[in-house]
Amino acid sequence: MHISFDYDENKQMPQCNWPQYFKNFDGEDFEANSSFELNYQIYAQRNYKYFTENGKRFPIPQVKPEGSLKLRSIKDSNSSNSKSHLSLSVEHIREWAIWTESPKSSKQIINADINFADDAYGTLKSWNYKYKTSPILPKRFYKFDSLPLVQRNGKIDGDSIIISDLKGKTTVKYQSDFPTTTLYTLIERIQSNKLSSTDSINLLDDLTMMRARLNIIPLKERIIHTKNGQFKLGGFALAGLSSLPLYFWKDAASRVIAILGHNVAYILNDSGNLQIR
Amino acid sequence: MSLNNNPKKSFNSLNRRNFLKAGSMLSLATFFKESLSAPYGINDFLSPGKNPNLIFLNLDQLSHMALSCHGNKFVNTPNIDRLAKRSIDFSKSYTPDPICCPARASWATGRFPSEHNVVKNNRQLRKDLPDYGQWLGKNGYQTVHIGKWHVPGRSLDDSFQLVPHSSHPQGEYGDNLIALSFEAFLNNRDKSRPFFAQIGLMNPHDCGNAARKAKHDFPFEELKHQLPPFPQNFDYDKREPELLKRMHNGLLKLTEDWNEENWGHQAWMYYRMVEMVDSNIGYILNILETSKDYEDTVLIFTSDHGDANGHHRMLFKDNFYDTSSKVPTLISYPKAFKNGTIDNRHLVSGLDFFPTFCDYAGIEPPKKLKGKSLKPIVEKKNINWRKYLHAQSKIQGRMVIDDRYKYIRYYGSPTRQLFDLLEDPYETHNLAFEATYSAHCKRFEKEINRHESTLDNVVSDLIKI
Repeated sequence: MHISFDYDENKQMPQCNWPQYFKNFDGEDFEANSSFELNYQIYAQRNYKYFTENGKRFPIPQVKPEGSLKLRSIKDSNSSNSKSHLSLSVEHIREWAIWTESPKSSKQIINADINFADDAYGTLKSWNYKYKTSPILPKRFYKFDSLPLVQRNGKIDGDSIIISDLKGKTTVKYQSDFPTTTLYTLIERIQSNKLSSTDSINLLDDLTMMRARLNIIPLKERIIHTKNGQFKLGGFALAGLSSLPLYFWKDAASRVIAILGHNVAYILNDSGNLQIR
Repeated sequence: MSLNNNPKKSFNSLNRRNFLKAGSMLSLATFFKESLSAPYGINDFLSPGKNPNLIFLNLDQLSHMALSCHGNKFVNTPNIDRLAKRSIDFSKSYTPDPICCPARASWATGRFPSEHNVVKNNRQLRKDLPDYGQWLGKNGYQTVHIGKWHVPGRSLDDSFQLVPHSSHPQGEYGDNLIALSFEAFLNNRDKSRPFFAQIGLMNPHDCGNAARKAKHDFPFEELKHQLPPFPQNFDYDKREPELLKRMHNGLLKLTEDWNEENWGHQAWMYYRMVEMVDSNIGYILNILETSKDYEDTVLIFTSDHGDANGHHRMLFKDNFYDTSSKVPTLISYPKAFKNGTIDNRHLVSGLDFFPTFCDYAGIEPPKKLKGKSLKPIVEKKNINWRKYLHAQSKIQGRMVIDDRYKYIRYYGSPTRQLFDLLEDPYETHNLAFEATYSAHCKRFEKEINRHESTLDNVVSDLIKI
């Protein structure tokens, strides 16, 4: 079993091994079921370079940091509905280069607030989000144009997933017979040790794109060694029809320290509980 | 009609109508600062409602076979299927060249690779050929490009007035942004004139990277039932043109250790990439369908080339087998028709899109385009259509198709291929070696020679060895 499809201990160059980025959180207290903030660095894999060994060419994935993800969850034990209803705020920043070696050209920020169920999948209830895409620089290739801010609200209404603008006009509607989750709520559910296997769940990718009827599959535990220490990893894969797999790996304290897949690695670089007054 | 390359010049002699249009442009500038180098014309004869919006929605490496609406049981593409239901679905549509840059340069200029100079990836486009972004912008359309372009030698902001985002690998990571960028554009576009939007999604192009992963055992026991078996033409006729055979041997070397699970693993990943981009297309269609622009928008959907995906024990593209050279092509125009049909009669080329856009826009296309407008076919008019369809590959490759046969030759390679697409749609039996088909081979040789003599070739020195 590989940590992801793209991990090959024998042939990858060290700078391309995802685990080298893993941070060792041993000794740091963390209460997964309390209010928390998680900060991930996003590393994108872009293209390959090649090296030759014994007359055979091997591709080396090119890896660059291209953004960040911040998740904040306030869990108010005094709230009357806290047992059935959770919330999460998201700041998801990504940057893109046209080519591996070229400077980054576009930047997108998604800010969202999500209400989701305290169930096995973090099933979506309602959410709002705004996204904006901007040029990072005028540069030697092209001049890029800024795009205006887009703001939307989303809700689950029976078997419908409805996204609407601020005037209430529906812009996107999906039908589904299955619970719908997100990258963000899955992280929270895994960390809370609530996630369980299923063969019928939807992923609303970036809170907008529907990837229907996926499986949640437990991953076998494995131990890997890095210069930052030894990691005993477990977790889940989100795989099946409609999307290439995403691998969620958690450490012994249930921190989701890496999400791998779709040519991206989200690596946890900071986590902590929030003090609520 | 006034045509200028620079909008500032257009303001010098304004009539009332152009003044209003110019006012609209200026207010729009709060959102979009349009390129000053891309052609920009004010056209009195052009207006929304009279001239439709044009969307060119293109994918990268989508085989015509990789769609559930085309009968594939191993992939599920509900959104492309939905588009197909309200489109003319051209089932005999071929790329001008089954690799990225040459195909895209041919879309953009309406010329064959040997004419525009991009005969392989990353060769520079001829400077003197106008592209469709320039042409439609010059003739009054608001032009926008989002996503993949890959036409070397032609800067995007010399061709399109708006370029909010350009991207290249990886589609898995970037295609969501392309779909969202189209939404942001459509919500805020200049509504005083029709638009031409080129949306270039990347997936499933990066199945090339998947080959590195497919060599491993498939990791999910629970999902093994989803792995496709060997395709029906996995065993193929090895009498291939020598140039193709050399490339094919390289792929055989790459996959020499693969078993059926590895091939299935590769195909499984390819289909998941197709499904991922299908989801992006669903979002784009949703946005369009809930907008006021939906009825009055002509949408052409296609791919630059296909992918072998195990057929002929092959991967990737850059050859003339149908998996690589035949592409899905859909045209929809809700204002004109609501229900789609399958057109399995007309031979269609990626060269046809530029003249089709011009025809719908009501403007004259540039001289010497090699394609033909598809609008009369969509409108079911009786017209004389091409008897032969031509394509190029790897500089020296030439393919010609008629209503039944496909003939392939490469300059410098003695071996030819002839397939009967009616009796042998998976191209497993090369008929060029059978005496009874020699008349067909001669006929096709003559046709290729005739066709070559009509081209304004700029790479003759590279072609003939």
